[in-house]
Amino acid sequence: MSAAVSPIREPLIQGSKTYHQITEDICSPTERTPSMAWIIAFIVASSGLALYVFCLIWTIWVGIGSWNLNRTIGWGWDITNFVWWIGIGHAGTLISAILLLFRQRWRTGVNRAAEAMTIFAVMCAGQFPLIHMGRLWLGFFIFPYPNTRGPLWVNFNSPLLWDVFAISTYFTVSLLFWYTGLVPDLATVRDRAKGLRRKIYNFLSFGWTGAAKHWQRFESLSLVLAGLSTPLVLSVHTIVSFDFATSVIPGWHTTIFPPYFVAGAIFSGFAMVQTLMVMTRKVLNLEQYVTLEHIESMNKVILLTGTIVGVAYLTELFVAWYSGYIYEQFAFYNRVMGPYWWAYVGMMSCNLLSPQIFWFKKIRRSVFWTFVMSIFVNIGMWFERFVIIATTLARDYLPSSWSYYVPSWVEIGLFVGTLGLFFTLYLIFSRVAPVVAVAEIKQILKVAGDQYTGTNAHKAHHAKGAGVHH
Amino acid sequence: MSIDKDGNTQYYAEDAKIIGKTDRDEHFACVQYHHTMGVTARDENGKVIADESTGKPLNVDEKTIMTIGAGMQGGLTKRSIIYQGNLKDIEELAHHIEEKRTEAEELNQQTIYPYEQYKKDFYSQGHHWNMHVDLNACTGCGACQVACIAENNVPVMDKKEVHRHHEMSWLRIDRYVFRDYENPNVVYQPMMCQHCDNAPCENVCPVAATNHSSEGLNQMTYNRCIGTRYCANNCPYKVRRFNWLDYNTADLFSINENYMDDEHMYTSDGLPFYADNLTRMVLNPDVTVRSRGVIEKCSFCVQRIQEGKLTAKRESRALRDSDVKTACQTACPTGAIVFGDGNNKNSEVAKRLGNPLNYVVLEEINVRSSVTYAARVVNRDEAFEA
Amino acid sequence: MFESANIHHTMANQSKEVLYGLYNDEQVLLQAVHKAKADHLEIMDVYSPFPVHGLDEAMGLSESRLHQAGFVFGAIGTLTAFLFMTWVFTRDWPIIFGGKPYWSIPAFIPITFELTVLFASIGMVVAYYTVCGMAPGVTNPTLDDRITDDKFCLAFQTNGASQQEIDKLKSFLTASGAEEINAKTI
Repeated sequence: MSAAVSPIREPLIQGSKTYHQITEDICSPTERTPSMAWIIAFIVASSGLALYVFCLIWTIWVGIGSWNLNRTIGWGWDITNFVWWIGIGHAGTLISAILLLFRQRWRTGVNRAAEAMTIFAVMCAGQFPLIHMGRLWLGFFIFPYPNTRGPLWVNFNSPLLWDVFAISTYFTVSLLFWYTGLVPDLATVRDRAKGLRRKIYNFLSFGWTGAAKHWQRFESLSLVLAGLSTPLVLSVHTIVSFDFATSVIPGWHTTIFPPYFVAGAIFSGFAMVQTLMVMTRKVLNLEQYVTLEHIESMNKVILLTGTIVGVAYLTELFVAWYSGYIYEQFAFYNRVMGPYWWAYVGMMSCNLLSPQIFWFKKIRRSVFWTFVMSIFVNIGMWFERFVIIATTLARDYLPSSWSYYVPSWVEIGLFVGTLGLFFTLYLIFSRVAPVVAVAEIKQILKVAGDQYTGTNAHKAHHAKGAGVHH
Repeated sequence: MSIDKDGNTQYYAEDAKIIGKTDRDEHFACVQYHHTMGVTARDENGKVIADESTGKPLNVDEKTIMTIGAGMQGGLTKRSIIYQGNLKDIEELAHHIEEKRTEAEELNQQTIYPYEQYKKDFYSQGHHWNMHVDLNACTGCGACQVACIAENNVPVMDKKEVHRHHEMSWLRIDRYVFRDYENPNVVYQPMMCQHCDNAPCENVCPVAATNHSSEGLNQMTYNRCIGTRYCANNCPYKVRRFNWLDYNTADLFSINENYMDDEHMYTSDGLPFYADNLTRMVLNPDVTVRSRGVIEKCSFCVQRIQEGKLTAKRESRALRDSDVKTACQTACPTGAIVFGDGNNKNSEVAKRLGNPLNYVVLEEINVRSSVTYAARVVNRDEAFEA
Repeated sequence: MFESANIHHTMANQSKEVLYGLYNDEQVLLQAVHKAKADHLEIMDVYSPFPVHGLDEAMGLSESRLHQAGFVFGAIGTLTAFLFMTWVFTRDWPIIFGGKPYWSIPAFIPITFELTVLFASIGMVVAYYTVCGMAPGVTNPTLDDRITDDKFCLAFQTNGASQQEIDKLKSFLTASGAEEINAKTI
């Protein structure tokens, strides 16, 4: 398993770190008092959260009629936001699971934050299928529990029910995977802490000792969880796409949707990871752990998946034309030329065209352009879901029922509010837990530290025999 | 709303008067836009606008519904929603319909669950409820719609809600305009839940609130519905209606109860509109009043079906056509709507199902609708009209 | 005998006298473990801030069977999901949905898959924490706070050991490159 260290490989940990320095660098943000930037960001984010709570209560109290959906367009911003968030929530597990199986070492720099982001994004996503219900207070009907109505079970044929299982499974498994990886690092924080902090982290670290047998089981568990999470992460967006693909609505009823949605999910997920990591590494001084190498690797993934998504967009148009099926043809003609043309333009330009600048290495390694592009992609992917959901519903089979839809302030507030929820959770996370996987970074230090590899390596041959495993 | 001296609410305007022009734009609330099925137009010289290469008249309305471009010719007219023709071309029309239906049937055979098989398994015994609508007889008067609203406790929407496309009617009359815009023609098409045997709405409900009866009815269980609106999205006919707000004072939260306008939130009794005893007498006790947040739709007047079945049972005889008549059927002044047991070969509806001009709206999507329409045939002398 | 982690927990109620050496480098530790095995010294446990490759072989630890448990949990999930849905739709309350047969197998695939993954994951994680003796709020005694930072620890249990044996262990630790040697009762 001992991988040969290529001198061409760029180092993933810079600054000739020792094990102790790694601990110090990554754990110290949890021990300092928060900076002004963090406090301001937290106030802004929690105001967003307050807006969310307000709009949520408003929706439940007044009814879905406080939104501007109508008899033709039954889903609008709500499910658009759901799919958008769940897509964002795909990068974390992808980084931690699939890249682990592929033995991509650069994952260690970003996997912890990406997984946390996944969990928070799935939490945001999970809000929408709940609050879009007309009678949220009866939402427990979606669970197959024994009851006195027969018992009446749920409809296992419904893609929406598959969603319930897919998303709750995904959330649970992501949380278990993330927290299991976090336990040794929380123990590191525990062993540096005193007093009450020590008590709290002692509680959170489950009594971790670092014993050899525990590490062995830890590694075995990580590997199998990664193996389970890989098909899981692919299945989740596949099942989300079934919400549309198994319907009869032209523009939804498409076999291309599962791979197209999965590629889109990875695309948007990595964009959100970039948005967060570019800020996090700057604020928490983690540039030596989340290096340009990491950023470039992720930009390559964005370029690839963005292009896959773009090919899917074009394939869709071709298939619609080639089908000779008037409803399908009209649905796509309407997407491009109809009243929602601007959403289509937004989607095409942000998702297909603009990521192509990542063919240039200089731009791939530019922090500024990475940040700008990550925002572009986030916007583009939101438009994609809006195009698929609202535009398609607005004009389907019977022209008599065609309609148009503009969101109400409540719907906009809910979307902005979930951004608040997301960033609030992320900001808390960045204060209480190591945002980079400490143990994993130490594990790859001797093969990816810049004193061991790359052009400035001076301890290269020490690395020989240093185990590389995960 | 004013109250007369007996304390009754007056549901009509007493002070209507015509005023002069104001500089105000008011929104016009309309249940449907005027939809077309291919309208031609003329240029300044009175010549019909046509495709330059083929010389065929262009459907100019294809352009008007698009923001960009000249529209997709056939995007409206090629849909299998309306079939109509002139009397002298009736053979041709019948042939056209047959061709289209055969084509649709071929498409519909491409399935892992062949319809014939489960039709035999599920629906060969007992009743299978069918409806037939004769577009020739329909005058678009709307009596069926009103009867449906009265029978089924369908909330009547105000201007604001209609403007937001929140109308609740279970049965609507779709209007499709065609021919030249100077001298247009309209086809009226009563559109209600088609009670598809392959109902797309049933598959997608996560809580099994909508499912199929063994008599071919697409049933809706209001108290099981949690309001995901997935069924409404997946309905190709867009006949499912969602209770966006509390329209019937059936809500958990009394503050949401409906009111007529801002000034008259409550009636004189201090009760919200619809909660006062007189108004509530408008409700049909045989039909559930739906609360906020649930989907509702045409039930084929299931309460009447049940009553008819019980009558027949009580009198120990087979069910007759006259035992079950839907509200829309009874209200239709021209007899355009016929409802009955399709499994009973002697029923009126079974006889009507043999009409060669019959078609099923959107037959090619294999939803197996239980409602059949007869194509509209007009007897018109084109030369005379021009 | 050297299922040390288990000893660690089964004997948790009785205090242990431990002699341990701290190393700065995982390679030095690994060689020390090899040497201790060669000298037939009874290692109590080895602690490290991250998993050291080859350590489990060096210590002679048996392979973890967690993945086998995972398979069993996953299989239980598959069967639970599929059989439950089958029972509901064919026996308990068959309902017609959209012209599908009661037993519409393709529609059961997504939930069957999800529950397989869910059961396997939860089962494995619970099994992992149970066999490791870990749970929220549990405090397992640790030898040194720096073990979770940058020190690698080789520990010997010295309950009832003679001074001569302890001296032998100390000289072994020094010779194998331990930077620090301490004794602690946990």
